Amino acid sequence: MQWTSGIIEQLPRDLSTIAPEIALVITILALILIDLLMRGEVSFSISFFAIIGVFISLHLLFNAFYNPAPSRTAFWGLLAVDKFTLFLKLIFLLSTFLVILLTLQSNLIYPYRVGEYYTLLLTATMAMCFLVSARNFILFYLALETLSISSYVLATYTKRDVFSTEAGLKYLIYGAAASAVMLFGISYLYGLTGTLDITAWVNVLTPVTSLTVLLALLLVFVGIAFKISAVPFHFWAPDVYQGAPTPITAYLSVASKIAGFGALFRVSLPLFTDLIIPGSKKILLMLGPYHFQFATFFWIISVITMTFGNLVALRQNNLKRLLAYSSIAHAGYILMGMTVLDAAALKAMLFYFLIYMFMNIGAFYCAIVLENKTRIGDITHYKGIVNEYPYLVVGFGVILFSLTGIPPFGGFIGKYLLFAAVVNKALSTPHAMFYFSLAIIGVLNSVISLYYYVRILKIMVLESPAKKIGVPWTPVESLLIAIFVIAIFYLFVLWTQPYVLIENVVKSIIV
Amino acid sequence: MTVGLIHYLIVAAILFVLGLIAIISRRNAVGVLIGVELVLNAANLNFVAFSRYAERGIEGQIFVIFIILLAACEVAVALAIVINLFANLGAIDVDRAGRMKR
Repeated sequence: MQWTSGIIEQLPRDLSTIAPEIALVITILALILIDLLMRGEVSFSISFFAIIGVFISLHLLFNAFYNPAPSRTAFWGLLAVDKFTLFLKLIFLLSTFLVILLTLQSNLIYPYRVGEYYTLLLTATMAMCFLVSARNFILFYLALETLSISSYVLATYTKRDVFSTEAGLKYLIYGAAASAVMLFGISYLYGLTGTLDITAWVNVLTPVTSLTVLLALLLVFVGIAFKISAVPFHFWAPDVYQGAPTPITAYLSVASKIAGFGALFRVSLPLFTDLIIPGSKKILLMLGPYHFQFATFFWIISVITMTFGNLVALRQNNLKRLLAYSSIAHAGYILMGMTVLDAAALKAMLFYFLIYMFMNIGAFYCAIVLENKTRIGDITHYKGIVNEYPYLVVGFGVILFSLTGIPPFGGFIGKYLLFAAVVNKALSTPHAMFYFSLAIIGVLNSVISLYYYVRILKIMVLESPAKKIGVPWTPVESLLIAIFVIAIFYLFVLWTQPYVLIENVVKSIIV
Repeated sequence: MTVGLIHYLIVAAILFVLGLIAIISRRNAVGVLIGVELVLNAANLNFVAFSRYAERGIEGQIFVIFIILLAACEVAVALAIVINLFANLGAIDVDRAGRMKR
């Protein structure tokens, strides 16, 4: 690091690279001020300001995205500035926008004051943006904790609800333990490498130290696995997803999970050996004997995560709990890409994030609507609901089939790309059976998941209703469901458009 | 015998294990949080020891300041949640908070 030269000269250029985050910070400060100055009937205007802030941030992000400037690092190597991080930030901001829309529709949040709610939501989003661009463990840990602490408060936001409090407590205890364990791992990596650089562990993978390095990396993985709710660090997920206010559940299951994957990518980028890395020959030589060990590790985590998620989801009757297990299973599907560890798999994972965002937030939107109408979270109470709310059931059907990965819906393309990456890898390595078995287990899991997704629809459509609910359907609900359904069909029919974008994104990565 | 790096590492490892045991075995939510603090301080000790004895630069010591700051934030939020739990349930036992599965 050159601390002596060019600090002041580089500052304007470096600051311009974090313009979207600066916009978020200004919005957060403005929200606190507005909330303080205008006590009383300001709930909806505050959400309006939050949406404006997110849009300004998105605008700045798009400007940076279509700027042909080369990838580089900012703030003396602390932050990576490339399209890869910009793409992930785009997903975070879009999902934050969708979650704000969900919040406006939910009956859970608005009895409480919402100034703090939006402040915390945008703080978490800002932390995610820094998390995926961090190249230094201090910034990495700082961003992860900012994200976690905001999420704990958000999960327990409806504080007079016992379930919400329990959700917050569980999230807090598991999260604090996981991040503390991760920190212990980071301290060993620091001792071994002598720097806090996030990918420096590659340089010390020698036969003498490799065991310690792998152990330290395992401890770091605990903290990340907690965020992506990979088995065996998933214990918090079902309870938190069920107890937290539903918009926050959507946020945790999409944005927070993708941020965890972003962090995982940042730490493990040297493993993606066919990406263009400066000095990659040296890294290849270092990684050589260990590369397959990493693949095996991710194979095991991926298989148990998706199998566990799907099998337990079969027995769930609470809709939010069922979607929690389904989202654990989806983390398992995405982790298949980490087994393959090449550029094609990275592209597939990024595409999966895009479609997963629309599918899962859409599913939780349907859960919110059902919650508002019936005040019950149990799917056995939704018998014959199609007679009263046909649009809801059709939209939910599209979303659920897309989550399964059936052809006319976007989820199919996401799964297709993942499986294609696995099979291509199987055809090009000596470990063919290793990858083929992963693909087969993945397909079997998709078949299992079809059962519990269709079971929800079966109850809603085929069984006769017990009594009329009588809460009217509103046009806003039709509009929001239409947004998710159109996005899902768009990503099926015109999937090449975002895919071309993702190809550029992957080309721009700097380690 | 002079105290060197290895001694600090052993103390930190013992602290880490004790912290994990506290996290796993404690019923009381505050007890669990104290376990988390032990693990964090084990990491702190490692950072400072590496920075001082293995001449790994000043970054480790800077990191420790950040960790202390964040631990304080985390405890502030944690205690708020625990107080809220007490207001709702009348207890701060972790296993009392298991009503959702039923």
